[in-house]
Amino acid sequence: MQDFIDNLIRSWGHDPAAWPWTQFLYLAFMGAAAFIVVNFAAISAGIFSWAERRVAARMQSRVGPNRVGPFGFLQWVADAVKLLLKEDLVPAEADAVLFRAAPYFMMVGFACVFVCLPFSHKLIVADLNIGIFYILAVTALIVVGIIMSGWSSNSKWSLFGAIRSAAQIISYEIPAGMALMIPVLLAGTLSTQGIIRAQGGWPWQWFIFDNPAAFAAFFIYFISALAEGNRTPFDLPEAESELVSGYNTEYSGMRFSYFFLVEWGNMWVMSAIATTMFLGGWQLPGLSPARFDALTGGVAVIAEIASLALFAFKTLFFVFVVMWLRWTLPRIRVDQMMNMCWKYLVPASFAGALFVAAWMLLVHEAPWLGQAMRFALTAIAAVTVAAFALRTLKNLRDTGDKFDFTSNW
Amino acid sequence: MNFNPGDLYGVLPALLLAAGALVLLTSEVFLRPVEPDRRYQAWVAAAFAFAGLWASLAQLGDPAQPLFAGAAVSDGFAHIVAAVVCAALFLSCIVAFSYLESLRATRGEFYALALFSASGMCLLAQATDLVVIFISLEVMSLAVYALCAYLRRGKRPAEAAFKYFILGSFASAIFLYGAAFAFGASGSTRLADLAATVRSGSATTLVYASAALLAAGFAFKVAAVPFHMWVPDVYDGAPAPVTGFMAAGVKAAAFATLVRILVSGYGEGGRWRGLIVALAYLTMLVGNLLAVPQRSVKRMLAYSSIAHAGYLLVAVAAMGTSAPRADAAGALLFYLASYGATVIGAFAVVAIIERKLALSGLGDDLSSWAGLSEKHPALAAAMSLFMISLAGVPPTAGFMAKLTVFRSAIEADLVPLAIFGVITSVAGLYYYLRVVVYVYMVPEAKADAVQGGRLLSAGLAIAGCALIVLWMGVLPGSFAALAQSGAAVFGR
Amino acid sequence: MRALDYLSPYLPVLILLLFAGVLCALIGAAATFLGPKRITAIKETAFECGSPSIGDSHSRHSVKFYLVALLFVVFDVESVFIYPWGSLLRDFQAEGLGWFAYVEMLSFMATLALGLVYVWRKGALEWNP
Repeated sequence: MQDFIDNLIRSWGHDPAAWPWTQFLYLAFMGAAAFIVVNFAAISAGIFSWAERRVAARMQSRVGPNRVGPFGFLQWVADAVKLLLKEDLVPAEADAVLFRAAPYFMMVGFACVFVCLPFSHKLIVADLNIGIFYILAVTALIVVGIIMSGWSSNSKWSLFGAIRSAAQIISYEIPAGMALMIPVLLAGTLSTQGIIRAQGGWPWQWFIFDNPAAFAAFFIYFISALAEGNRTPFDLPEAESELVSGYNTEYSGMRFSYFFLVEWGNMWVMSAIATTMFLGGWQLPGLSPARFDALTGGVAVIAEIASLALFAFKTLFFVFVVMWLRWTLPRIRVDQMMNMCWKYLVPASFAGALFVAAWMLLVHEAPWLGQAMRFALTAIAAVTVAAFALRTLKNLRDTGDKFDFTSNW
Repeated sequence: MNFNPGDLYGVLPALLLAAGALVLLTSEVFLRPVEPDRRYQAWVAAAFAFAGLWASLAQLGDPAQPLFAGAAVSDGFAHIVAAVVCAALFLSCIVAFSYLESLRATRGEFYALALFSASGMCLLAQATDLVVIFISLEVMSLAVYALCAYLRRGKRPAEAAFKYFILGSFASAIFLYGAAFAFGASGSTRLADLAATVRSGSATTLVYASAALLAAGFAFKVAAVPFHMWVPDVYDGAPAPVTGFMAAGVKAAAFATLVRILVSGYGEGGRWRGLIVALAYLTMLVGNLLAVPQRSVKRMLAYSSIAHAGYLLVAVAAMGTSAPRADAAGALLFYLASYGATVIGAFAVVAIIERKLALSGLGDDLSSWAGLSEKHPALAAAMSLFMISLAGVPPTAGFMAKLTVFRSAIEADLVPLAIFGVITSVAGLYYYLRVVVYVYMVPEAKADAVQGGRLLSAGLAIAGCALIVLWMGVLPGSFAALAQSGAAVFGR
Repeated sequence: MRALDYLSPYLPVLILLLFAGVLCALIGAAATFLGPKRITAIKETAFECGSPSIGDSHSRHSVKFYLVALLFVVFDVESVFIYPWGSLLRDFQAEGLGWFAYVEMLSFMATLALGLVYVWRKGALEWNP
């Protein structure tokens, strides 16, 4: 971003190093970027709340919200207004300070992730050199918020939910961290933009298809991210049927909605991380990062927008997958959840990291091996996707779509 | 980056002990169905301790050299401390075998934890980098905390472990704070760089503050007086073999590191000497005074351990001069070895008595030691020997140790400190000899006979300790020469 | 000044932190301002499906949660150690020290794996023993 502002100042006919307002302009731009990002986070979470309900309705052959705006799109705005007008309750026996402070921790932990989350070739608030490490660190703040809310509510449901949630999130942080280690290994950097640049635009240049362990690591990360975001099938902390609502039982009104804001916003975060680390991020096919940097003028703007669109498309696809899973899978039991983490994902992720390291050293000596593996894995993935699509088509032909498109949609 | 695999040889004792701990941990979980009693664990642990002892003695003649780019060092001082630690571990394993056996507590990770803590101690003696010191300190401490709570049933072990853990963590935090200051002053965590900063004369308040904080952190570990509060409860609540190992091993390692930090890090004749002298006065006074009213032998030994930390601090203070320091370092090593042998023997006897008391439901009081000489003359003789050695009466190791320490103090112009040390040791005679009086002269014998058979291994260890104590007292020449050769790194 | 330069990449973090906090506070304030305030004794009690709450909610919890917390500390700290190695493996490789660095990490992870095996066999991973 600094280069961009420097160029801007130069275009106004000033020297950035000598101009007195340079630092001020930096700050202003940072403030603006932060404002945009926080609003993006909040609004995308709102839109996802609508999208999730629409997707759920479609999958269950229901109608879903369809009154406010086209396709009910403005439903989330109506919900926000409604929540604003609700009574804000603090239980008499609650620890009022902690009770009020807990949502802040959730929101701050969630918003701070966006600092090093890339959106396109140039769009990133700050490309920290410890990027992914920083993301892992600040997401841990959410656990603090959850524990605080559960403890301060002074309600049994809240505390049970909070402790379960904390146990789940910290357990799955380990496989998630180790799975994200693998792109770091392959790229040799922790910076998010650096990791994207180390990949390429074509699928066989993505890290997910680099080797079998990286392929597995993508799924380990995805599963762990689902668990960390308390998403189905890992939504035990909020299990309505057993825990009422878990750590947010005592919350009401707007304060309650913060928790769900974070949950829905986290869908973007986890999907964007997956896209960044494994799926080539914003890389356009056939345009190497070096050539991208060299572009100027209108072409540069078009390429920038294309990279933004590609990144958003990949990310939104995974957001959809997360919703899809929610309405497909049942909730798993707590012992299954813990077993899966500690007995399968943790050993697998550690073994995967070792495998990838060995693979890198091997490929260094025999580069053709790496190329062959990339193409083979891409081919396998393509065949699988095609087979899945054909199967779905066949199912549709055989049984037909039972959804009523005519009324109310 | 240059890493020399040969450096691993320099830390061989620690590696051996850690490997032994891993072997024991694995065997604990895999051999449970085959060998539910896990009796073999004591012998495996003793074998690894012996291997560590052998390794540290085998390296004794090697020239001193830095390891891992100056993060650690392999020199005679470290090897002797490692040998003391390994010997203490070896003897403690043998004592613990019969102790745990009789309490039907031969389960779990007792020996693995002991080996882990010993490996931390060996590394601690070799570390010359504040970060390495901290890591080995924690390896040692965490294992010892857990060992204190090994007999979970009852309040006292839990209380002991919890007190030790909380206060120990606090001391670690103080140490870390001092390390941060030292890093801030010198821009490095290596002791050598710290010494260069001190020598360059640009020493600031930061340097002195860091010296004080680092010394305070270790004063806790060695049980010097303003930081001694945990000692009586922990020594009392922990199982007796663990207490013996703690008194011998933790003290040896912590004193070695204290010396390393002060001498290698803060240079010769630094202002730290005044601090240590003050600590020594306080520790000798308070330790001896508070030991007098104790009627529980374990608590008395705990206060005695504080008093002995005071005598050891005299040796440390004697190193803070421009006089030949090797003498004082040699005296320190000799003292550590003799105190280790004595205290492990004493706690082995306590372990036997304690077990008996636990079975008969009696409290730990001097009166239950009455008449021991009639039932178990050998045990009584050994206990008396250890008490005499702790008191510093010839012809025992304790006498020679005190003699060398006070001599080095006088040579270092610390005459008042030496005189004060002699006076307090005379005062110490009272409470040590009281145990001997009860054992030999008070007739009433409440205690029943100790079961035979299982006593054998503890008896062997006691006999070994007694032999060492006598040998160091009567023919100290070879031990003193060994200690001097180890201390040579500190002097001209 | 040097410290400021070093920390300047983190300025956006600080700004974002402020923005998130302010946004949170603003919306919260708006909700308190706009929403009704009719507090009754029943509303102020903790929700327990309608029955009166018995005892303190801050009761003792199963030791399993503490075990998980301990395991987390162990393994998370280890993965923090592994990250620097991971980001530097390419540099090691460039200097021809690749396999050396690999063996180093292999021995580290083997010890860690032994720890996991121990914990597993010990039964600490069984949620329903």
